[in-house]
Amino acid sequence: MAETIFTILVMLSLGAPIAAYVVLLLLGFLDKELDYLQLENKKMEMEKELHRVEYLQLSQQIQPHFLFNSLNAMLSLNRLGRAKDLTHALEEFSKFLRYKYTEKDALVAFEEELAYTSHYISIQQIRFGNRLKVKIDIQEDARRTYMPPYMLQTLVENAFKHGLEKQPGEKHLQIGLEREGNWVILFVADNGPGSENASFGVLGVGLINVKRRLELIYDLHSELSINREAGRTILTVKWPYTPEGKV
Amino acid sequence: MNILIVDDEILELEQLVFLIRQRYPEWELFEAEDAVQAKKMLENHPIDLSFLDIRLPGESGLELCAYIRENYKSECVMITAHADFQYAQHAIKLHVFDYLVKPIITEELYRMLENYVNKYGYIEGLSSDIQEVIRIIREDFHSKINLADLASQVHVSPNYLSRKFSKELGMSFQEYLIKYRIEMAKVFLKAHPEWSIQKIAEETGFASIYHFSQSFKKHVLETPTQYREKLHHD
Repeated sequence: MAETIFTILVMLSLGAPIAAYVVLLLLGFLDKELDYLQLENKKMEMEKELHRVEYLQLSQQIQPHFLFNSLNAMLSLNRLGRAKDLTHALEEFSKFLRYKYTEKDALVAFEEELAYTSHYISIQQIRFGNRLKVKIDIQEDARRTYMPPYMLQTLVENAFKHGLEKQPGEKHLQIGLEREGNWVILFVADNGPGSENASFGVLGVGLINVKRRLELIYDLHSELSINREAGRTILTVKWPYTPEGKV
Repeated sequence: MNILIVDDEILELEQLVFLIRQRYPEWELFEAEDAVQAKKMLENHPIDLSFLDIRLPGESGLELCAYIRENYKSECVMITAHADFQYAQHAIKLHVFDYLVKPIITEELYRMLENYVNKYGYIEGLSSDIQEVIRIIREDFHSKINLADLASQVHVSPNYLSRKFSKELGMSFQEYLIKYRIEMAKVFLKAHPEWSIQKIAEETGFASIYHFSQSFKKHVLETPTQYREKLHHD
């Protein structure tokens, strides 16, 4: 009897430290595993943040082509003695710049984005006069949505660069926003001759960047596509209807 | 001097017309919005110099420039929104006269126009039909030129052209033509020592070697041979 007690005691005194050691090891491992998960999470957040900063930086750049054309248009107005038109052009250009250099949240109100883009369009209107026709249709139940900043502007710039500036005669630009259940659909169409990218549905760098931005912001489905239809290039973006500036 | 400006931006057309007119009020300016309109203008007017926006809608400015260089004796100036290396390389290949970068700077435009005027010997203050007559003389001096043909080419009567020419240049059409041919003969005597006097006379549009020698002696006060020998001595 005493022998068994002795054996147990010996076993315990030997086993307990070993067991404790094993437990300690396991704890350490678990801890590391937790750390690793946290790190992974942090890495993902940092990547998202990096993309956000890159996206903003890219979107904030003024296209040199647009910048110099605007300056040229303003110089023309001054040389031709059209003081009123020059003031209008300078005001529109200033408002365009003001928005560019305002701190942005992850999401902005569609209306704010539309107002900003309209300054850009105003300057194009000064350059091309009556030959540029712009039509904007916004559905009331979609109007209040939020969206990533600069998204509309990027689409409209794209329409000018690859479509309207290559279109002889009348240039038509159309912007539309619609609600489809829990989603909103924005489209920008132009009657330009269209690029190879457009006919094959391939997105350029600027548009890929917008698409990526949407995917990172929304867990729900979003899409961005380009296609040619009845002599027009149509850019379509779909994202979840967002009535507040938060996802 | 006839200038063609091709740009799809109306404001840019107005600006260039304004700036060129300010410096050269007697020049004729033609405007087109794209290559199709430009080609029509080129068909109907003798254009000396074309300003082409590099990013024209439809056929690009560079394609239009290539067309002009191939079909007309006319210079092109490209207008670009910002210095673009690829475009510039293309432009050099097409032997464009120069290119302007937007925004248009007055001084750069005028310097370019002065270079053009210096190169082509445009004489300020002359009306466009007399400029045209002088341009034809400079191009065709080696063949037979007569006033009646020239007058019909610029759509006026020979009498009217004769009077206008004397009034604007202070010498008759015949005098100017002979002076120009003799100037060219001097250039050839210098540049081609291997050419015979007969050949020089032919290349400068004189009907006979006798006529050539007489006219040369009258204006330069020595014979073509004496002139050439003196050059060799120097």
